[in-house]
Amino acid sequence: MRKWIHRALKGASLTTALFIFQACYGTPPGPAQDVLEQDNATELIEETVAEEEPAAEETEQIVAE
Amino acid sequence: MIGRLLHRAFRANETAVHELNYLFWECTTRCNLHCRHCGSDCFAASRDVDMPLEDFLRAFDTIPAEGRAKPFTVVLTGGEPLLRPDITEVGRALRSRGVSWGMVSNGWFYDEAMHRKLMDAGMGTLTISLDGLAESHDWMRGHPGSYARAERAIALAAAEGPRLAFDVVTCVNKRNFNELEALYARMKELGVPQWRIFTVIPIGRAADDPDMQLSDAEFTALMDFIAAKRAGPSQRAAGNYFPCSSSENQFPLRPSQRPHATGEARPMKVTFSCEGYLGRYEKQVRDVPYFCHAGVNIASVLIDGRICACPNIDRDVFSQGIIYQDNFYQVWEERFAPFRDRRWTRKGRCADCKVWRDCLGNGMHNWHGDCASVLNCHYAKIKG
Repeated sequence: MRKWIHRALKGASLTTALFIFQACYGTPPGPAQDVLEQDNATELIEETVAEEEPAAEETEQIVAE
Repeated sequence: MIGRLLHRAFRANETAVHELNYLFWECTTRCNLHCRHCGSDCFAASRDVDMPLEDFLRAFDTIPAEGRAKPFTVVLTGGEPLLRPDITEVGRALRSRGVSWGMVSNGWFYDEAMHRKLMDAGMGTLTISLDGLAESHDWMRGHPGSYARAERAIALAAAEGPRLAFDVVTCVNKRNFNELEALYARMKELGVPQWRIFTVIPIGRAADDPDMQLSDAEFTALMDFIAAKRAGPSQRAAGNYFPCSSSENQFPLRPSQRPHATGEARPMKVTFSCEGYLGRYEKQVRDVPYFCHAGVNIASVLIDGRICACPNIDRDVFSQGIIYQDNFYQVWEERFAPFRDRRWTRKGRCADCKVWRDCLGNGMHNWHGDCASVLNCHYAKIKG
């Protein structure tokens, strides 16, 4: 019952502000969660890693030189 | 009165459900600064070694998928989190688990390259501390140049836009009390979306420093200051990411760094932190009524593996377990009784207090040592 009330309140757009709290000395809650849900986190990380690491051919070329 | 009763019912329900939304990780206690108000008493060469990432993840992974609420945020704190050489690895590990993460930083190491690295590692939320104008901030932080570094960090974060939830926190004390207007103006210039104000808890180094504590009259004036800043119509839109003029900034930003570039000033939300119950000021200085979420929605993994609520709570008294011996999520589900049933706080100054039902003994960080009485009563400060 309590969980049902919790979910019902959380789902109601007028009361979601109640659930957006901030620890006294913590960081703000915010839009980051929405971004996280839209992104595919794993893909994002793989893309970033791919950008940072040279391709295999490039590495071979550097070694050959 | 009906509003207060409804909020009490809401709070009781949330406490019974105790959904974990916010997890602090005290990932280091090393710090490059030496702040006068530090509750952690951190030093450059801490006696505690940084907790290995694998140890934290092992504890984190005890949270089942259904126990990971939305929203759920891991906040890295310290010490100064940016002293960890593996900070981006930490961020990526959390993002790969689908978790939003952020940090509280003094900004010293936060240059453009660091900002990009953290954003690429998926950082979603950030708080930078700024404790006054240059002279006061450097005095408070015990290090010349720390204001300039903090301001650089603020300018970078403010320009990031909606991908980063960002605010600045200021610890108000006797020294910076008269600078609040100037600081407000400067932060608006920098494009800060939200300014959060708090006061010092008399623990750690701040316990014996008379410059750290506001008088009752000063505290009440601080509430009036925040209320006045929140009264303007721009507050309704504040906190969102509005265009920011960088022309007056000390650190001009490249056009590519500006999420919006119309040059319109950004409204800034001003709030008082959720550190204590404020009686008649409750509706004037915050968005939502006072509710100490420690141990109800907030947990922490401390540097030595102890499991507690917020890191500034007396860990020797209130720690609920240790990750090296206990299952973290089991501890969260089955312990934390002192946080979820606060009738024990009805003693000392709180014993006969008529607002106890709304306050529940103030924030949990106000109970230390033998817990004979609450350390700080915000309600008494504004009442007197």
